Amino acid sequence: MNKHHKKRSISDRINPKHLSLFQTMGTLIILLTIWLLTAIFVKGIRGISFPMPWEVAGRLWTLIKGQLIYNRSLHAHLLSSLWRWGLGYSLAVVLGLIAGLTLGICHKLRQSILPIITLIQMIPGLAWIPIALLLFGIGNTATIFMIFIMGFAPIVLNTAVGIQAIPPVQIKAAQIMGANKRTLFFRVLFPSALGSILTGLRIGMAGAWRVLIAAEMIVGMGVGLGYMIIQSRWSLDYESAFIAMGIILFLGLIIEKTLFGMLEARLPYASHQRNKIGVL
Amino acid sequence: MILELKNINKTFDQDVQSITALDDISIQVRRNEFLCILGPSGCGKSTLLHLIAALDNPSSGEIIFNEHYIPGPCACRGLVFQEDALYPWKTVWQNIAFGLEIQKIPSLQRELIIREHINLVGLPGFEHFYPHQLSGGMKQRVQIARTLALDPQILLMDEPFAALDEITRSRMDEELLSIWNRKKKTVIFVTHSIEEAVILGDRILIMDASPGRIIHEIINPLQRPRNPDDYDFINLKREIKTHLGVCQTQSIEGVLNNV
Ligand SMILES: Nc1ncnc2c1ncn2[C@@H]1O[C@H](COP(=O)(O)OP(=O)(O)OP(=O)(O)O)[C@@H](O)[C@H]1O
Ligand SMILES: [Mg+2]
Repeated sequence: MNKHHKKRSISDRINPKHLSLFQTMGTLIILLTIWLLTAIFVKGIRGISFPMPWEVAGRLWTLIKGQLIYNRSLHAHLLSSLWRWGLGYSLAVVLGLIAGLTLGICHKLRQSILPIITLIQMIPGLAWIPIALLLFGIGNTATIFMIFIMGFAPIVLNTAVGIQAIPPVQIKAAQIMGANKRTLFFRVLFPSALGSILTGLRIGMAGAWRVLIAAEMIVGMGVGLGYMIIQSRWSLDYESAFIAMGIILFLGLIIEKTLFGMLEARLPYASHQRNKIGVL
Repeated sequence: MILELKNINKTFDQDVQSITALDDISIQVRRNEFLCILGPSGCGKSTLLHLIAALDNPSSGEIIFNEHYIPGPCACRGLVFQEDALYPWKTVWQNIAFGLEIQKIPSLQRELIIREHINLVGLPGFEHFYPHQLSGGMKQRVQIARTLALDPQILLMDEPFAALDEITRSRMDEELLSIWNRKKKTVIFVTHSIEEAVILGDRILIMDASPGRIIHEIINPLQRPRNPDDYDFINLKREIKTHLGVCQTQSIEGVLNNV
């Protein structure tokens, strides 16, 4: 026996492509198990029937085939949610980046304005409902405003903080190399903040997505995934609620993986920050 | 005289007290001189180099470079920072290219310069590595390449080889000397290593802390190339140690005379 033979852990012996497949499958199996256990548990203790995975799948099939739900097709609900989210979040990204970059490079503005943004960020999404209604009345604008504000604050904060966090020596080095303010901003400050900006975009995305659903439940316009959830609660059509929730999760996952996955792939130097520490 | 510091003072005003980092420093540096600065930690060596690079202003005193007051930072006074100053989002190649792009060097020429300097610091093959994929000493060598690539008139180096092993370090010392010979540069070199100071310097300034000041100046009498095993070399090291307060014993002559 070779004494120095290193025992490789299980995860080292699997082809990385297969590993990620296994990991995804594992996640799915765990989710399904939790679902089933909850259903059995609820039925046993409370005596109420809890939607089973296959029941939900069946209902989804009828909806995909075109059955209307609350006077709209499933994809009308879906598109209307996506459209609101897209508009609100785009606004948040554009204005948030502009505000964040400005605060990042302007020390005096930052000191007076950043605390306000921090406060805004602490307000839970639903608390914006009365303000949104007062400002815009019931309707799409109120919903989009809420999405915007939930995305805006984290984007501003993370952008400004990201720019502040640059080690001073990197600025000094650029100054010695002859960089003017423009070069300093576009080629040093901005790229150094990219990782943090990406984090802000991510947190903002999740916040905007969550508040979208909540806003549609309350200030909705009779269409949207959030509206679907709240209506199914009244009509005891829990399968539909599950379908809406599933779609929300799925879309969020896709946005996260595609949009942010793409952005992140462009920051290869940041990849070493990804944690791969584990025992097995 | 390429550089003249006249009665430089630098104090940092803290909330509770103010620190005198530099107290009445006057230095004259000749063109093509290799000046070493030795001193304990916290005696203001980095502060001094930053002032010369015009990254900070002295509290009082004047700095004159080529007969002119210095208006601000300039690639003509290149500084190799003590800490890691590379851009983590740029590869080795891009880090070196950055300054050349700012100076608007045409791309063909730029490529030649980058290639030359990557070879110079012994990093061919690492062009497309990011800083986090390099060792501490390799990062420092990239920084040196980046600074040298801009062909500064005066090269300020803040303990550039402190992170290197002794073998690489003496190789880098030799490289630096050959660059200095070839390209006729003026170098101000901060180091903690007495041996390095004696090998490199035409002149060695010894500093002390609280307040940061120059306590002694040594004109290095040794012929180049210098051999650390030579009798005179060891003697000079001993003399410097005495000034630094590291070693209070007699010189070798004294020991030998007593035998
Ligand atoms: N930005 C600053 N603000 C306040 N104090 C500072 C600042 N920079 C340096 N100092 C002080 O000035 C003194 C000299 O610092 P400096 O970095 O120049 O020392 P050094 O000789 O380079 O030390 P080392 O060999 O450890 O690098 C120290 O007492 C330090 O606390
Ligand atoms: Mg220092």
